[in-house]
Amino acid sequence: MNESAPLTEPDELNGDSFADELNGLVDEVESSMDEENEMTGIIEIPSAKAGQNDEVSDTGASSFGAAPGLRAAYRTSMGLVRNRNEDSCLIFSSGSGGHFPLLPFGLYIVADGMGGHANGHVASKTATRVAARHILDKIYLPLLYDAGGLNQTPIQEVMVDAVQAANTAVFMTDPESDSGTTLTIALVLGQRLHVAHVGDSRLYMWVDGRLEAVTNDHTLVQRMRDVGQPADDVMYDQIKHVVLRAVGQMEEVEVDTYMRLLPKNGKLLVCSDGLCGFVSDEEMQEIMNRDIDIETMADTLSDAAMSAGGYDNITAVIVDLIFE
Amino acid sequence: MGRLTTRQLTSKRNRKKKLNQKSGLQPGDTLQERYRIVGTLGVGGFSSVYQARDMRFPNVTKLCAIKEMVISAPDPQIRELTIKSFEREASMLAMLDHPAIPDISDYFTEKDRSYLVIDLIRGKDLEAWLDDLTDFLDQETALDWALQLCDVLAHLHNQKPQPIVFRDMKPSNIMLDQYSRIRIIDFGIAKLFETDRKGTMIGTEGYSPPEQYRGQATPAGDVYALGATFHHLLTRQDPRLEPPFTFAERPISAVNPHVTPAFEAVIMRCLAYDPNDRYHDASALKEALLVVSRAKEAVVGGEIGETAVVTPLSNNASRPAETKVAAAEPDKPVGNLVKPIWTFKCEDEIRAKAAVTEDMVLVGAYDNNLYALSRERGEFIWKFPASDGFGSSPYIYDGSALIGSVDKHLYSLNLKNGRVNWRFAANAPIYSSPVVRFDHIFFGSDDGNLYALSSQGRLVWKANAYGQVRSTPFVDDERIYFGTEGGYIYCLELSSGKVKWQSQAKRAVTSSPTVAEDIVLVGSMDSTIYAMDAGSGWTIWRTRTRRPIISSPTVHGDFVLIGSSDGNLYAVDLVTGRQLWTYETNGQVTSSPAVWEDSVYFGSTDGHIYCVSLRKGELRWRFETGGPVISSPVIEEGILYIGSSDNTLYALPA
Repeated sequence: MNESAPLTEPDELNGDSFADELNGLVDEVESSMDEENEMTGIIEIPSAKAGQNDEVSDTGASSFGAAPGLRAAYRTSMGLVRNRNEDSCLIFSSGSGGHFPLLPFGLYIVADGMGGHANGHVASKTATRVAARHILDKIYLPLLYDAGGLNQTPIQEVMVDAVQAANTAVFMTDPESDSGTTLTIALVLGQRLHVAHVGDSRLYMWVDGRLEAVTNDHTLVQRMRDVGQPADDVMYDQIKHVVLRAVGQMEEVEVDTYMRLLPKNGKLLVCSDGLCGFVSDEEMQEIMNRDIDIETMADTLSDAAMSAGGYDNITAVIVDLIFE
Repeated sequence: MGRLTTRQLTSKRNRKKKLNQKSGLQPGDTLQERYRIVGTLGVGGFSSVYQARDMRFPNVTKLCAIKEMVISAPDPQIRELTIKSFEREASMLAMLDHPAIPDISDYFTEKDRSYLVIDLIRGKDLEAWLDDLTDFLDQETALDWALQLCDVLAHLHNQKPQPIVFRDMKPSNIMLDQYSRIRIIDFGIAKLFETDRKGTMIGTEGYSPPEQYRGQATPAGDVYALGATFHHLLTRQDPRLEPPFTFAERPISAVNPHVTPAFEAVIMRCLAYDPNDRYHDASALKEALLVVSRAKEAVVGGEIGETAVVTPLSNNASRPAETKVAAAEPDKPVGNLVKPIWTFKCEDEIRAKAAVTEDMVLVGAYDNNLYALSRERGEFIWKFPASDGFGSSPYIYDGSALIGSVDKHLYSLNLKNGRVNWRFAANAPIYSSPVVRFDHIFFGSDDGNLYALSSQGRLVWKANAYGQVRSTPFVDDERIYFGTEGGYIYCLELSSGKVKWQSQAKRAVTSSPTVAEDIVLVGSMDSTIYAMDAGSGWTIWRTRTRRPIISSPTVHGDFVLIGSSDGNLYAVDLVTGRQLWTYETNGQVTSSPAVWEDSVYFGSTDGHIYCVSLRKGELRWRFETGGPVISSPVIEEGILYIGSSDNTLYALPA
């Protein structure tokens, strides 16, 4: 309880240390102590409970036939109407093998530079890269330094700080103009998903054939729905583009965070509203249910948005999660 | 417009007939791939209520009530009103937080029907109760019920910015649950009270006040309906069969001589024709009822003995204003709203949590004894003396009580007689409480080890944590989590004791970790609450309090509850670590909170045991003991067991 109490070196902790000396402990057990039994040292976990280990095995092929890990594919395009792609995306999946595998780590970011604003494409680029830098620096590099688990900044704070850093960067680059961007960041660390989100890009989780939106849009349409006064068709057309929160428009931005435990097998979809604003969740779910590789899946989703008119820039990032 | 009401339970008379009508859902049907219909509870004009099983909990039978509203009425106006009424009820229930108001947990639309998922209340409504009994309701029970109803109505009437008027208080909308507590159901026509707005007649003839027929719904109208309800319960005269507004001509005492004049006067004032002559809202009525209740208590006060006596106030959310005054002037005696069911006096302080078996309560004290008491009456059964005090809690396992002592031993005692089955010696005192998993026993000691023993007390492995282990390990199917006085949080593999990961706080971790949704939660003497990923040990979030934390967290839904020596109980969000509410006491909260139904219970060194609401941290009651309360409550079947530094173990109604 003393603040200056010496902290032990973590490496010293050795679980099988009961072998080092039993210095009379055993003798004090009043029941008849049998030295041989006492040395078994392993507790059998009932088989029904076992097999839930989340360790990545080097050899274990998954039920999908692919090696365990995180794999991602993306497709981003201008669409059919706009003359510039103001969306940006960034994907980073780490894999490692051997006796000491790293925690699964994946970073997937989509930013949609604000349509109509002067430098939307610059804002979305800046935001994705600044945010990625911050997260890789605070989480991925410490992993490589084996510093995981000690003295780290809580993930929640890292995620929010990453968005704030992106916000500052966009705002400072262009404080006069009103350029801004949405920013949706999905971080997979171990078997957990951490999300930081501003704007109307979306993150979906696909599990067992069902597509579920994890993020909530920061739009006027959504806000009206939330307060129980959904917009009618006429109004919807007038306000559907109104985003209530964006990165880079003020000195600080309010960030929503989400956290999910990930299934052993599933997919993530991070996309801009050029996709989810024109293709229904049902249709996207139907495409994600298909037995196709993720590159084709990203293309098919993008094509669906094109068929719906291609009115906006389209970005789709798909992450295949295989934890066993 | 006609009456547009929904009924969770139609009156018994109508129930049989209506149950025969064709209802929308059949047993076996499933909604949202989650709720499997088990049966029908009631069918009304626009809605039906089903009993359903929540399949999200496949291993247990968790039942809920599902209210279904058909939104396909051919008349578009009715259709719209139906939807609005349904949505309003959903929002209202979601907004309200009171033990007597059913919790809503889900709300969805499938096809042309909307559904509310609410608490299944087991019990019967007061109309059915009236049908089943031939005697008059006795005054004592009537007062208890009336106070409980006032409490919930006051909660509605005190809503901001506008009061909510329930508008349909009557016996069939009041339920007596399995714990004999009052619950109100059917918020189908409750209304946000808008002063200048004319409404339409809604309610039930006989119970509704005269002004409601003119479209006025006010808190005083609820007071009237409450009066009408109790007039009915006390006289057995059904107001629906009597000429309207004739209560004044039908005094209660003319029919039921057992009602005191004071109580009758209160009820009759509720029933005044002119709203200005009534109590203006439920809070005012409650004050009047309290006076009747206290007068009554003064008469019978001497009779309160060893038997379980709960004053009518025990279920009330207390009045915060009054409590604050009391808290500021601790020397001023405050009557305990809760009466102990029993108490048991040891010879020294109780600092550890008790354990409860089917018929016994076990608790260790600093007088070196582990006491076994009868659960029902707190009668002494046996005691086991160690050679030093008990600072940890017993664990009940396979007919034995496992407990560690400051005398360095872990004891296995025969539950029947307290005799030692075996004991295991560590090298230093044991403050960590044992936990059993897969027939193995896990605990820590001040000698710096985490021990794993076989059920016979043989060492299987021990892991050196290089720091005193005073926290109680949390053991799941594969891993063990605990903290050390050196400030580390360890995760060991259960099978071998090998370190899976470790994390570090800035000061000691005496608090015992808990794990929910694969998140490890623990407090530290560095004043911080930590949330870590159970698989990797990565910190997910941290939340600071103002002073060191010794209390251990409890998780209930998304609520993480933990005390701090800054005097507060904190409720923070499991996912984000954001503070949801705090409740301030006048001492340190080292006690670890326990949750029962929708209340949180904990002790403070200010000598009190507190009960606050889970959702908002509002005081429901507090109980004063004769010394600081360091230990933590354990709750079984609605009874709370907790020890205090006044050497006493208390059994209180939760």
